[in-house]
Amino acid sequence: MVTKPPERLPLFPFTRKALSAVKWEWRFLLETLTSAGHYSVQVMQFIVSGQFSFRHFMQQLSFVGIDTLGISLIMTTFAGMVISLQIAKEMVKQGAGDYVGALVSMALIRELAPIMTAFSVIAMAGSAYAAELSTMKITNQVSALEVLHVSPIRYLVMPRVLAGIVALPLMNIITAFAGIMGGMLVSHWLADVSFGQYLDSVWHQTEMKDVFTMLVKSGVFGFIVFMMSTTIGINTQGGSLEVGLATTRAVVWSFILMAVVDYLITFLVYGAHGG
Amino acid sequence: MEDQSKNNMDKPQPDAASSQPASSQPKDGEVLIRVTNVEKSFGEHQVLKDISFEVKAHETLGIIGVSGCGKSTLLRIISGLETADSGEVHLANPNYSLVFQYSALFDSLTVEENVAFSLLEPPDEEYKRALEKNSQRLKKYSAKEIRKIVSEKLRMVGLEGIEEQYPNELSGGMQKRVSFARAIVSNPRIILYDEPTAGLDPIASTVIEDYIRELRNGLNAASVVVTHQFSTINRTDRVILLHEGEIKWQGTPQELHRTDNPYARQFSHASLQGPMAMESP
Repeated sequence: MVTKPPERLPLFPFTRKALSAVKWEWRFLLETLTSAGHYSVQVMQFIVSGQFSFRHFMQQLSFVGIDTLGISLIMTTFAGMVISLQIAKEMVKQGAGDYVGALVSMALIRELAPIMTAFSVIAMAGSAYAAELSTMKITNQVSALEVLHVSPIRYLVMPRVLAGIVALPLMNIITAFAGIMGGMLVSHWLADVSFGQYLDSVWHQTEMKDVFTMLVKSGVFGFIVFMMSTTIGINTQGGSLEVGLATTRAVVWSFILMAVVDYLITFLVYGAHGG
Repeated sequence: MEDQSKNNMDKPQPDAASSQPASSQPKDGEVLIRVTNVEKSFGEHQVLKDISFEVKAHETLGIIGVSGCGKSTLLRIISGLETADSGEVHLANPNYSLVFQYSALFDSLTVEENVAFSLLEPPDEEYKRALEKNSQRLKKYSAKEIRKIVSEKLRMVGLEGIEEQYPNELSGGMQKRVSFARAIVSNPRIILYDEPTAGLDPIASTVIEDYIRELRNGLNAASVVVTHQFSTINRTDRVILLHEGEIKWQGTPQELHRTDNPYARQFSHASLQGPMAMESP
């Protein structure tokens, strides 16, 4: 019996497929960013013309701000504790115990609190919005809004994006505080840094510029996360498979854009020298 | 059965307490929908080819044809949900509504909130301006009035007492009737129906079909009904048969059963033999 030789596999069997997927994904990103740009202009027009529903805004603010605050608090508190765990003992040993609080608060306020809070919000609210809006799109609920003469951008996108812009900075103040407190407990427990010493260090070394940058960063993150989630959701076409895909994309692209914008803001504020 | 459905229905009164916006009735014979040379393609596939027709006040136009012939796309173009590649759609009155094939109820809202949606939610400025141009205005209602209007509309479609339920707690047929109530809450002058009776039991179908007729009579509304069901087709005034994006035949429902047109004949006889090729098992 003559056996047929196996078909020769190409050297990199997945290369073409992978390249095509990357190309497709970039095209998707460009289209999404273009739509997000149009929607942002429309949101501004609605605000300027007074077509703004405070009730819808408060509903979304309560979902984003209150429902996701718990997980953000846990993440940033532990982030503060971990930083403290890693540096407190060593710094005290080197005679720099007075700077433990400053270092923990600097790490949290400048970077970790906004990032951790945004991560929690992407995971909980961003993904939920993408899934909700994409389901509404494929079941014609978005079309129904249009037929009822209610703009989907005004009814669905605007309150969610504005809630994100307002909620994230407010959440950040609370989560950064929780992280600093977590760091204080660990440094006291492990390295005998007194509460007064720690808080004094935080108070004297934290600059207003850092706090202001944290608030701006988190507001921008809120805009990115919710504009991406809602835009991807509302532009979904297809069926249940696409709802899953939309949710994944909303999360992934929110993470990536947030990382890029984080770098840009940090560079603009602190420059190449970082401080 | 017929009696029961009749009992459930109240004849719609234009500009009664339940209407929004308040407007004058169209005159008999006034053209409310004018579709002129509409064409539409999706990629390489041309879905609609040079479609033209008019629908007057107090007229119900049925659009029939095999699945995929472009009926729903045409309805979406008329309602503004899709744009035509060429041609023009003119609606003489901005107060129109569309009953979707699969209800399209807002699943995060209760039945009451769904039906009252256009009374509770302020519409876009553009719509308000279009109404003003048409000498129409929006009326504001108190919560009590809205509740009354909603229960009236729900009673009309035979669904009293489900105001607090959510759409996912209802059967498909009930959802459809709720979506019908939502579409008519503003007493529209132009009503588009995408398979309004598909998936409904015969009694519910009769309720909806009778109500389509009542709306036409009571409001002098112009209606376009996309349907496959002969009971619905028979209640229309005029029928257009679409195939492969073209109008192949038009006439009255009575003529549909007598015509020699091969397309209309095949459709009315549900035959596998004819120009509309379908593969049999």
